[in-house]
Amino acid sequence: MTKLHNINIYRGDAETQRNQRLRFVIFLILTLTWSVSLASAKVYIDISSPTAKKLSIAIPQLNSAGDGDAIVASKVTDVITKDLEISGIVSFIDKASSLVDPLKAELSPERTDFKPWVALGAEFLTKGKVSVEGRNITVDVRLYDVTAGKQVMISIYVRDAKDLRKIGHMVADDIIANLTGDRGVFNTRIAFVSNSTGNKEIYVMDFDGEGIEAVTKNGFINLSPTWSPDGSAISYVSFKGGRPSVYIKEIGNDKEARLSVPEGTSLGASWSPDGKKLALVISRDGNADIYAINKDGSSLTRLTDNWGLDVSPSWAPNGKEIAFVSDRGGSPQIYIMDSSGGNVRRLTFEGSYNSSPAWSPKGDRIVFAGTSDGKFDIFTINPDGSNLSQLTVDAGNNENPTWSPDGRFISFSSTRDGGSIIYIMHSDGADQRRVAPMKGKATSPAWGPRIKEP
Amino acid sequence: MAVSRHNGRVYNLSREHNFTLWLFLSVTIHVLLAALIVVSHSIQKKNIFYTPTYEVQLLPKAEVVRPEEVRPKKEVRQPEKLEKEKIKHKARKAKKPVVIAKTRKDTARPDDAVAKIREKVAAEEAVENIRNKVKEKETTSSGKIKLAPRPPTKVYHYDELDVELKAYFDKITQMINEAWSLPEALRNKGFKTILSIHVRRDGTIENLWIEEGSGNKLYDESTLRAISKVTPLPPLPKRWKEEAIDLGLRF
Repeated sequence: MTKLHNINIYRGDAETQRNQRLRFVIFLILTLTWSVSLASAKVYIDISSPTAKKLSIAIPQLNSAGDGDAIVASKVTDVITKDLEISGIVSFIDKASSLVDPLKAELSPERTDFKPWVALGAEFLTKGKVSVEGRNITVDVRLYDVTAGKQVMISIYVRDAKDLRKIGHMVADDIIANLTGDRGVFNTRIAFVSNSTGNKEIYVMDFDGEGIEAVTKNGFINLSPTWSPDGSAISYVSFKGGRPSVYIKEIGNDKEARLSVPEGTSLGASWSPDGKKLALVISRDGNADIYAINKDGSSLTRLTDNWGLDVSPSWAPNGKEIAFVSDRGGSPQIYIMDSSGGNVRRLTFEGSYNSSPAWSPKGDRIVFAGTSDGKFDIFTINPDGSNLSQLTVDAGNNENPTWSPDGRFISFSSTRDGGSIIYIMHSDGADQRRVAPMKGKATSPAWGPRIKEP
Repeated sequence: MAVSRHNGRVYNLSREHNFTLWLFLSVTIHVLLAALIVVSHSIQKKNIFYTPTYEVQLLPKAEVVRPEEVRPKKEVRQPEKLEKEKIKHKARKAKKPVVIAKTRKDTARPDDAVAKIREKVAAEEAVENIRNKVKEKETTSSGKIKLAPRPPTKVYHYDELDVELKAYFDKITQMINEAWSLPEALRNKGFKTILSIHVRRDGTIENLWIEEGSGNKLYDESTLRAISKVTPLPPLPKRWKEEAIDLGLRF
């Protein structure tokens, strides 16, 4: 104000004085508020284009005490690494194996030096140890967020030595859960048909093709395995009783029941999502139709009644609809009906032969095999018929697609390498890889559900 | 309004009176000016962050309202009390918000975004309802915001500062995008996280906190990792006179 006073006195004249004051006041306010506003300003910036889809992870070999343990540690590490590679959600730090970590036996974020891992570009790091006592393997794996320097997962499993791969799969499942929020499917199994013994029998294997076990060993023709929703049983079609019938075999014991129908032959089944019913194909006088039947064989209900062949039922995960194949329109095409049998509508219009539909676990897609240039390929389509997408191209015949329980993968059989072999791929068709290295022809994969670990 | 310079007491009262009066007149004039500008200037851009453009914004500080209290959620809302005037040749007063608007496509690379940047020194409306009216107009017009030519401002060399800031924001946006890894499983789920960082002049991040979480721990952590990976940021532009800057990062 002193300054103002001085200026005014100097100017003298009242008009000039007013103008001068006005200018000065404005100038003063402007200056003050301007500088203040800058000093306290807050900028909001949109960061909306994450570049990488893959998280970078370093998986050095699990630590072990003795030499014998080192072999186990190496095997478990390999299982974890391969599972994560198949998942497609991580990229590996190549130099993880060459980095010498003097603290590798120390499983705590406090006793971990994250700097070298940060320098290698790792976002996540696993550390762990394996110890073997008698028949028991103990695996303790930790997952660290490298940039935050904190532990985000502890996985400890104690199992019989024969479950070594299973332990690796469980650890990989845990890691995926901690990276994406959804557990992996590395501990699931795939049922399939193989003629390796000279006749078609049912087998199950781990999703990666390891641990193959026979489900049937009867010397007759066995076809079309499907899992019950809880994974406790497999239904399949067998000729062992003379005419083909559907059998339900419990996993882990010898209990088996034949799903008896009054007449005709049954040609394959699909479990309802609640596991109480099956949709069944029954053929009489050369005409196949779809029926629903309770698991115990009661309440047989006819769902389709048509001169054409109606086969390959697949329940929607909501239990309200069933997709199936019918040639009622002249060529085999995919149709959808309500689970009570009404409201039939055609889903596929492209191609002259579409078959074996399977509804995705989320219900948002249907996968099927269809002819393209005379060969079968795998396609997916929305249940409303939109967004048709071809997943296999120029790779022999690709048939019998089946979803992994998380919907991220599709398994199918392919003749691209000669005989029919089981493959898996991402649900968008990426990363197609063969998983069943065994002699004979393998067909009709059926991906089992996640099974709760005791 | 005659001023007696021989009587200190009268003089002082009179001066106080004059000051208040002029201030009042000035504010009134500016409010009117602002209203006029708003009406005549339908392409005037607004303080919203939203689709399909996004904007970077300096929030001016009000005398009575601290920025913390006006921190936006989805949209920046200025307190109604806070009157802002258009800055023109003659009328210079009050806060001058800086708005950098970018048009972008979802897949646009940061480089493209740079090319598309339009910027200007925005005028601010006097009151909330006028602001809303204009916003309405704007959202109903074409998706791209067309920006008015920048009014000349000689005093603060704002052009230069603005350009430097803009380049700085582009740079760190690009850096963070490149450092941000997000698995497919966490994409397109509608998660939204706002991080706050206090960046010192030398680019070091003094404070980092989650201003608004997405509700998904893994998503939040992915954004924190991205920031960790770009620390320290480049030094602040030379023309930025303050010792630090507060940034909100909307992931």
